[in-house]
Formats: sequence, structure tokens, C-alpha cells
Amino acid sequence: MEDELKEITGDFLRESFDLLNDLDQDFVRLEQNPEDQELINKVFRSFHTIKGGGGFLGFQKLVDLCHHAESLLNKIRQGEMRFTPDITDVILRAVDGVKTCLAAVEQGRAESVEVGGLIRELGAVQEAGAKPAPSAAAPPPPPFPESPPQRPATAPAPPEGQETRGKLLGQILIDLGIITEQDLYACLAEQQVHGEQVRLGELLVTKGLAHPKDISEALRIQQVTQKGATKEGETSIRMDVARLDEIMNLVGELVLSRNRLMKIASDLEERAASGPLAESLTETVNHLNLITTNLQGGVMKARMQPLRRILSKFPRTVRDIAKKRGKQVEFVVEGEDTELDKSVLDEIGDPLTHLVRNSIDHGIEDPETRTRLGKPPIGRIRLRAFHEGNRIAIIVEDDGRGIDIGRIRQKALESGKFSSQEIERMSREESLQLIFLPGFSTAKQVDDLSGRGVGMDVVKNNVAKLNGTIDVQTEENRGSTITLRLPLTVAIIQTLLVREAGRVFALPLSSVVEIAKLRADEIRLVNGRKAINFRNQILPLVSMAARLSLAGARPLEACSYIVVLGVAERRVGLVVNELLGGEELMLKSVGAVMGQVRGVAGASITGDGKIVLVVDLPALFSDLALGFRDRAIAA
Amino acid sequence: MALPDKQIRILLVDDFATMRKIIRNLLKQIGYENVEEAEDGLMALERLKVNTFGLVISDWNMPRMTGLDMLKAIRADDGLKSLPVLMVTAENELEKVKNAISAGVNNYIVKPFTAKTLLEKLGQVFESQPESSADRPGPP
Repeated sequence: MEDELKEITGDFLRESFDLLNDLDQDFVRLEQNPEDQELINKVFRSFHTIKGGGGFLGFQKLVDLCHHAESLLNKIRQGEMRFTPDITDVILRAVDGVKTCLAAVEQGRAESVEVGGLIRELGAVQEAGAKPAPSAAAPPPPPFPESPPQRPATAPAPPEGQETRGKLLGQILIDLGIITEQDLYACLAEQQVHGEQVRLGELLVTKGLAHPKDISEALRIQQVTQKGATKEGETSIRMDVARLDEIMNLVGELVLSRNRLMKIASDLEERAASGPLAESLTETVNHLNLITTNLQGGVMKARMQPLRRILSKFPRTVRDIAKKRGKQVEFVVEGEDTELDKSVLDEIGDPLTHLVRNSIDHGIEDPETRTRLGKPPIGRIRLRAFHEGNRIAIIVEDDGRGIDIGRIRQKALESGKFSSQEIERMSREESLQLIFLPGFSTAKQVDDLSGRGVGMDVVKNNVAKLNGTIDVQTEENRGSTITLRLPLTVAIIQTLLVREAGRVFALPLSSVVEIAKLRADEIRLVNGRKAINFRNQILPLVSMAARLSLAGARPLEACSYIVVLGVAERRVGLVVNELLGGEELMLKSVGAVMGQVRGVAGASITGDGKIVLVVDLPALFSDLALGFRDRAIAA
Repeated sequence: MALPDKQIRILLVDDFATMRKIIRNLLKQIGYENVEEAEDGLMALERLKVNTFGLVISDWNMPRMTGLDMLKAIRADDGLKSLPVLMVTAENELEKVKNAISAGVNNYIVKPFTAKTLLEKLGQVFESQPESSADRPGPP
């Protein structure tokens, strides 16, 4: 019984949080479309549902809060009150309050939450709102408000797909504007006479009310939407992430064994040990390879979640900050269905929030300024995500004022970390990278939202941890574009194997920008450090052997290749002796064997049975004074 | 009290999975374990076409098809006409649900409720069976 209650409470919390996360988006849509009955009903129902569940589980404060939010929404639903920004604010605070209550339940202190203030606010709005909204102006409440509203012809059509979900054919045809309700009823009546063997679609066609093409389109919609409707409800299960991780771990081991087996099989073949036995070994190994790849893909997919999961709270965040700043911002998301590994997803929520906040705070100008500059008064922030090979690219762009390079340089000078000479020599790109320095902020005001100078620093660290890269582009008065590139997964990683001082190392492929041949005569000394001019930028060179203090390292000049690595915003040329090719590896911790070693993320086993160390690039370069000092003087 | 047979097949209709679990759990406590679930009125009608049920316990406020519309559809169907329906409702919907009794709801139960109350309501629903169940509300 105790366990059952615990399980039900867990389900209740999960389901309630899901409902609430949807709500944030619904509210932003409602503000633009305050008459949308369908949406109002949905919001009402969410509070109602949480109240109902909370009642059974005995969370009285939660029930009280939901109850008051619900009765306010009921008034709006019945047309006695209208949505105003103030009312939306209060209801949004109630949503937050419910979240707080749920979090308290989660921590086992359900009754420690204070909801009295919120309840009073909800009551006050209801009282204030009841007066200025004369009931004459409001549409009369429907006789059964719970039933789907008989939408007046003037009401805005709800978004496609939601409304048509799992609908009957006739209703879909009406929604598409092909037949009228009267047509439908006439045909349905006729169908009754003929019995069920006459199909509604056929009847409509014979009566000349619809074209066969319309019917097949409607049937297609019906099929698609029904699939969508049953998909979430009936055929999905929730799973403990730990269990999934365990499976992933085993698949990782399988991948390593597969690699090893493939190497052995090909070695055998090379030794001309052909014969039926060797052949069937090769065949079996190939088959195993195929299955392993598919299995790995399948498990990886199970860990994938759409970016939407973390983006659902963004419209609300944008709305709140913009309102506070007196700015008008349109927030557009593209590619929110792009999927990536849960563990990557968990890490990028904060960085993305920082980027979007920065865009509102520092990018988008207030409406007056924008108008003066000949821009539309409403600023635009666009967040785009798409797959790019084995990586995901997430781009945050705004049409604001752009990053003021002059101010960044000024700020750098004031910080005392750079001399005016150094700053003068910095290229535009180099100056831009100053924003990633810890404690660097050009914000004039410091408050609760951003401008504490931690933003870009946090973004950089989180992205580097994931072996991702950041690129910044900006144009004065046209806006800024920040591009994050991240690996899709973290558990099993694509690597580039390199040999250095007789040892093999694996570099995360997601950090490899490009590979170039090293020519000794191009190496120049830049402030005492070796570098080359690479694609019009100074690229500092680092010998991996020296970095890891390996014995038997050759001098840098004697090495053959430069692997250009992106570590968040930085680019570094890692000089290596030999490139061995790509391999898929599962990262294993080495902590238990050798303790924490700087610059080593973990170890793995390659196909030929060798243990390789996977290089932890952010750690390896964290202390490197790659700084602007060196680069700047070289310019 | 005329309690329904313990083997009776019950269809539980609610869009909130947790609520279905809660009620299923309460039913289990009073000995009813033959329970199927549906997420809303439309799905419930689908289930009712496929299987024979002895009782429907339904939420009132659901997306896609509400409890009331489902009830009307049940009462309009020759095969399902006399199927007992127990409506689950919140306090503030009570008036509407009481009105719905004319549409053929056998009884209602107000959230939250205990296993004991649920048992009583089941007794009332089946007491008023089999004849003229449609226009007899249970004692308030």
C-alpha cells in the first residue's frame, strides 16, 4: 500500500509537470489569441485535473491554489471576464505556484508551501475584473460549457492537427470546408436507411457533395491524426533512465567486442587463411556488425528527446523578460523536433536560456529606438536547430543592435588585463571572443536577469564540457548570430585516433574542425609560442606529447599533421605525428584505476585490442594561456 | 445493498492517467479488478464497441469528448442504452452533473472519495438496476 501510494504520487507529479510545461506555451499563444475557447478550456482543464489528483492524494494547499485559478479561468471561459496581460501575469504566477507546490510534494514537505498570497491575488483579479467587463459585451455562457464549444463562425480556427485529432470523417470534411453540417446530417440519415454497408464517403461522392480526392485527403488526415492520438496514450511507456543507461552500457561493450572481432576477422583474411571456416567467420562478423549498429542506433534513439522538451518554457521566459525590459520581442523556434541525447539536452538548457536572455537584454532595442533606426518595432529572436552530420547545430539569432566591438575593447581595457597596445592589435574576431572571458560583461546595469557577467562564461563552459563548439557573428544594427555545435550523444562517441610519441590517443570527433598538413616553415613564434597563420587567423600550435608530458616526444616541427580543434569558442592546432583514422568508442571511466588525470576523459579499447586514452580537450586546454595576449601581438 | 458481481468488467474513463490509477486502486481495494481504461469519451465508445462492460466510471471534464457527450452517445445506442454509468465529478461541477442525470447518468461521485464511498455508490447504482435506471438519480 505504501509503495503503491508512492508510485501514484510519482505518476501524479510527472503527469502534472507535463501539463504545466505545456501551459507556459499555451499562455503565450492565448495572449495573442485571447478568444481561443479551445485553448482556454485546455488551460482550465489542466488546473482542474491537477486539483482532482491532488485531492485524492491529500495535498490541500495544492488543491486550494488550483481551485482558485480554476474559478478565475472559469469566468474567462464563460465570457464573464477577458484575458488581459495583468490577468495572464497572475495566472502565470499561479502556474509557478502550482509548480512550487508540486516540487514541495516531491521533497516530502507538501504543507510547507505558502499559497495564501497567490490565492488572494487570484481573488482580487476576479473581483476587479468582474466590474469593468459588462456582461452585455461578453458572449453568453454556453448551456454546457464542458461540452466542446459550438464555435461561432467568427472565432479563429484552432491550429490544424490539434482539433482534427482522431476525428470522425464527417467532422474533418466540415473542418476542411468541403461540406456543411446540413450535408453531413442528411447523408448520415440516409446512411441509417441503407445500413452500415454504405460508406459515408461514397454517399457524399454519389450525391455530388464531395470529390473523391477530398474524401481520400480527409481519410488521410483521419489516419494521421488517429495515429498521433493513440501514439502517446497507448503505445508508450515511461522508463527509468538508469535502466536505459545500463542497456546503453552493455551496447557500448558490445560495440567494443564487435570492433575487436572485426579486426581479428580481417587480420585472418589478410594472412590468406581463406577457406570455408574463415569465410563463414567473416560473414557472421559482418552480420553481427549490422545488428550491433542497428541495436546501437535503437538504444541511442530511445535516449533521444526532442529539443522541444527544454524549449517549451522559452516563450514564457522571453515574454517575461521582454515585458520587464519594455521591449517587444517575437520569438520563433524552428526545428524543435530535432532530437538529441537526453544527457546533452539536460546540459544545454541553461546555456540556451543565457543566449536568448542576452539577445533580449543586449541585442533587441526598445521599440522607439528600433523605429528610429527604421526597423520594425517588434524585435525578432530566432532559435533554429538542425542535424549536421553527427552533430546538432543550434543557432540563436536576433535582429538587434549587434555586439558593440568598441565597447568590448573599452571594457577589456578597463579590466586591466590588457594593455591598450594589445587591444589595438586585436582583430575583430579576436575582440569578439573577449566576451567569453570570466566576469566579462558590457551590461550597464546589473540585475536579477542577466548582466552579471556570468552568461557567456557559463555558456562556454557547458558547451566545452560536451565537446561542442561556439561561433559568434555580429553586425552592427543588424543583429548577432551565435551557433552552438554539439555531439548528438555522449556515451558512445566518434573519435579520431592519432599516434603521438608511440602511443595512441582518441580525440572526440565532434571537436575536430579540420585536419591540415604541418609545414615547418610556416611556424612562427608569436609571443614566445609557436603558431601558424591559418585561414587568416592565428592558430596556436600545441604539441600533444608536450601537453601530456610524454616521454620520447619529438619536437613540434618534426610532426606531420595539425588537427584543428574547436574547444567552445577557441581554435587550437594540435600537432600530432600520425593519423590512424576514425573509430567508434565507448567512453569508460579510468577513475578507479588511475585516479583523476588531467587531460584524460576516459579510456576505451580499440578494434585491435589496444587500450587508448580519450583526450579531455577542455581540461587539456583550460590552463593554456591561449589568450588574446599571444594572438593579439602576433596580428 | 445490491452490490455488482466482483467479476463485472468496468470501463474507467479519465484523461489523467494518475486519476485512472487512483480509481483503479480504490476499486481493487473493494474487490473489483476487472478494469479497463480509456482516455476520453471517444476512446471509451471505441472500447464499448469491442467489449461488453457491466459499468462505466467516467470523468466529466475531458478533452475531445466530454463525459456528458459520451453519456448521450451511450444512451442513444440501442446496445448500450441500459449500461450503468457512474460520473466522477468535482465539487464545482456538481450542478451540471446533477442536470446530466436527465441525460441518463445513474449516479455521481464527488472527488476526492474513499474506497468506502465508492462501494456505497456502486451499491446505489446497482440497486436502481435493471429497470428505468435512466431517470432515477441515486439518493443525494
